[in-house]
Amino acid sequence: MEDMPGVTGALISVTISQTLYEISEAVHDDVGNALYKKYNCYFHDCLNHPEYLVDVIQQIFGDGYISIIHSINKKLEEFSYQKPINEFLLGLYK
Amino acid sequence: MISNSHAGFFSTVINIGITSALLGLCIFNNFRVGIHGAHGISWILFTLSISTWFIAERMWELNMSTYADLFWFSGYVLYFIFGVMYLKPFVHQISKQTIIISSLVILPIFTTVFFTIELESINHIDMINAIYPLVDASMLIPSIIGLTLFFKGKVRFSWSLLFIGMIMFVIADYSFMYFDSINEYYPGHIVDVPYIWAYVIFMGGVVANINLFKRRDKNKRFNDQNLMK
Repeated sequence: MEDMPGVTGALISVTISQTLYEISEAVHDDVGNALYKKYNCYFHDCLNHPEYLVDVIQQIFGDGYISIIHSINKKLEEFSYQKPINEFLLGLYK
Repeated sequence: MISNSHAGFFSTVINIGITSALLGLCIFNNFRVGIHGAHGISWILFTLSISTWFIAERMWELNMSTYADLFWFSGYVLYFIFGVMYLKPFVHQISKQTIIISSLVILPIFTTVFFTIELESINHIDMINAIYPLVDASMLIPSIIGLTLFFKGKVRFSWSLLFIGMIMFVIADYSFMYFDSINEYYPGHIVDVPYIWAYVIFMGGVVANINLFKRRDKNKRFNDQNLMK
């Protein structure tokens, strides 16, 4: 299946949002605000810049960021046959 | 030099003031963090543990020590679950080895308590008093795991203060156990000071968490993308 413009970004956005929300509302809002403040970036923009998300989560939770990345990866791995998602997942672990 | 009764009075007043402020901050923190997710629930459990310790302190002042012990121990259970719930999203990174190494912290405290009490003449009150420093030490286990995990992160500061606060409780409970066993403890004794410090340091930990997760700015464009609400 080819990537549909906007759909992959939305999927990434929902997955990141859901994963952070599972930790807490405050973490979800704080990561979102920090992404916007530091990189002028929304959750869906992380599709092209996974390193922004990694950086912001790492700043809050230190080495604990790996578990959050792992959780995002687990939710998205069934879509990893799509090239943009696969590249996003690889970017999270760089 | 102030008399014992005056020391007891000031100790009680300071204790009420500090524990009330701590409880107030915990409730404020719950509003800030929210009730959703593992951390939302964990901070509610933290507030509940502080609430039970608040009740225990008041019962202790009213000489209802048996009921006070019940509330104190309930607080420890809630505090331990708080730590476990907070660490739940990071469970992939917590190995058995980390848990075992963190648990070793109990050993020196257990040894110190074991050599302080006289096992031949121990009664049930001494036994309860001796259990407190050991339970405090057990509460350090999730804190140590958290500190290792969040070593480079912003949440480390809040966790460090909760860790130091619990160490103050170990010192306070151990000192209380010792002075009570030699019948030298009275309300307002110097060993009450570490208890006050423990609550003050806990307040610092809660304030650090409040400052870390600022209130949502409704004017920030980030909120336009909020898909989960």
